[in-house]
Amino acid sequence: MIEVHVQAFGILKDFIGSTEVKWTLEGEMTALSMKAFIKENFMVHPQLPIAVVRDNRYLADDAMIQDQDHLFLMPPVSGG
Amino acid sequence: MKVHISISEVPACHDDIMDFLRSDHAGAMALFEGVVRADILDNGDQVTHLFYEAHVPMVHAEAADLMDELSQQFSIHAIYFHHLLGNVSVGNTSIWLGISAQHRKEAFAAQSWFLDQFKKRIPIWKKEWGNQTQQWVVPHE
Repeated sequence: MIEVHVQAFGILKDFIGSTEVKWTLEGEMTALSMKAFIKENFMVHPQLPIAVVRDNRYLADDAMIQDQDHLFLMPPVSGG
Repeated sequence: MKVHISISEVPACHDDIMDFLRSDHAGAMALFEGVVRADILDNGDQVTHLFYEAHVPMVHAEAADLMDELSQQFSIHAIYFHHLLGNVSVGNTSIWLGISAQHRKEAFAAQSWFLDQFKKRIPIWKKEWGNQTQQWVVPHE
């Protein structure tokens, strides 16, 4: 089991229902499997791209999520 | 190259931008302002204001990366970037991008390039607010 602190932005906040949450996850998880977890559990549109960020860097799909990570979930940007 | 990057709930000051951009070697100063439009939402409601949020540390990191790339492609003297956070009403400016260069073509080209990249990479999100509804803007890729 690992515990992660998650902060969501934009439309992902609405799907997840909160700006900041703590999740307890079973077993190892990559950034890609975290995206799948989010889409399956929070009714996120399957086509919506999600970026997972740690330490101000976008995680590659094969990056491992670590216990006590502080992750940021980002939908496509729309500034300006 | 002089660089200014900021993001806050306080609008930029036009005179401050121009003072920052001015140089004896810059013959062109181009200032772009992005202004909130009264768009019509899907249900017919009209936008009254936009709400902006951002991952501020990443805005600075990504904007700095963009400016590094910009400096390798364009010969410019200075760049000033400011984006507002929070609520911005129709008719008001939400983004300022000032660039000075020796000649106008370089300034305009650099400005256009930066804005295109900004729209794809800088982690800022906006929500459209109408009189009765609200919706996040999600660009289609």
